[in-house]
Amino acid sequence: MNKKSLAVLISFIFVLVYTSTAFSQDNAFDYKKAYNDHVYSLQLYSDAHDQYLIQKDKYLQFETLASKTDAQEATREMLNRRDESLRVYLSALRIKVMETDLLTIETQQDVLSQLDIEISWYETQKNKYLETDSLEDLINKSNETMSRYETHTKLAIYNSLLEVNSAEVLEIRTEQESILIRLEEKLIEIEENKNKNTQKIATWVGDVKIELEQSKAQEELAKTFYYDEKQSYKNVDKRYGGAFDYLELALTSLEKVDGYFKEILQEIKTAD
Amino acid sequence: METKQNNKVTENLEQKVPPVVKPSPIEVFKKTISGFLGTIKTKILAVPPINKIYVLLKKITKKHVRTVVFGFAAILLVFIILRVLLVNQVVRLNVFDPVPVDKPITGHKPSIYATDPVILEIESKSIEIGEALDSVELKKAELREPGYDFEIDFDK
Repeated sequence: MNKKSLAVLISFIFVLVYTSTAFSQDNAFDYKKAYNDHVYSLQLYSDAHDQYLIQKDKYLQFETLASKTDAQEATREMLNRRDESLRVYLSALRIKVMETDLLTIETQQDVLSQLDIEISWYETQKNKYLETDSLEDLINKSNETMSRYETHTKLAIYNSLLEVNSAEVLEIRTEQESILIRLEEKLIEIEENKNKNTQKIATWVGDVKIELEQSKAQEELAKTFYYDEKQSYKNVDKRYGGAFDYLELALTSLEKVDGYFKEILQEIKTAD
Repeated sequence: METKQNNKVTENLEQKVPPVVKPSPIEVFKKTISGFLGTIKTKILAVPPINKIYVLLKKITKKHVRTVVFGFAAILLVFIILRVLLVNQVVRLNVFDPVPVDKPITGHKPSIYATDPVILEIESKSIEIGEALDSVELKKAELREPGYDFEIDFDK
């Protein structure tokens, strides 16, 4: 092999390694990064909103042409930031749904399709607020977004949040159930060995089972409460609020289970 | 005769009386200080307990001093030997296997299951779940609905 072909080969390998590294970095866009983007865009919106309020006050106070122009500009900027922030928030929610285990494929597909529709709607709405728009135009366009948000976006948000929260509770409960099975197996072994009193432990195991059952029941109640009617946008806030309370109760039961496990393990590790 | 004799006596006397020499200021100072110290010493020694101690101290001989020095040295030697022995004991204690520090059982005797691999594995898994419980979205609420302002109006 002469020097030229060796140099070509080395360059080829270098390019191959570099591109594969760069590609893997692009793919590494996870929930953490998406969440950071959401926080950043929300901050930009918040700053723009503050500026909008200031300019609005000035315009209402002085009613000059200059103050009107400034108010118009601040409103346009704020609306752009708001819609962009909404899009980034929906994208973060989408990645969270994708990264959540124990969601059934149907549920995941359903939630993701709702989010995708909303994300694309806000994509197409991008830059719809024009510099030539009057205040009235801007208000009308903003009302369009408000209507969309109330009838579609909010529903997609709450459906996703409910499924994510519910799946996380389910995931923890499943892991605790598997711990319980292993503990019970060990307890049988200890009872056979007859070298440790397991009466107290057996009582706690009973309590663990009760709490796991309660958690399951609360989680089911959360879903029933949320999906009681057709998936209407009406009262979606209230329905999600109620479901959230049930899920919190389900999580509290799991925290109790966690406490019982600690007690059981401590008891097993201590001599009578 | 008598007059002659008297004159001789007077001459002799004049010859024997030394000439008056004035003391130097240093000597005067020394005398004053020693007189002063002497007075203080007398006064201090007049106090009964001090007087007794003084008498006792006067009785101390070289033999006594030697006995005390040797006694002190002997005590010091014993102390050093004891210390060396104790340090060796601590070093020997360190040779034992270290007690597991991940979850020390305080105040209770560990059972035979304290180091059981299955129990330790369950414990490790339980700790993981405990951490997962604290990081669920339900608790962190990172993705709660942001409060956007949709009601844009310029009415007074």
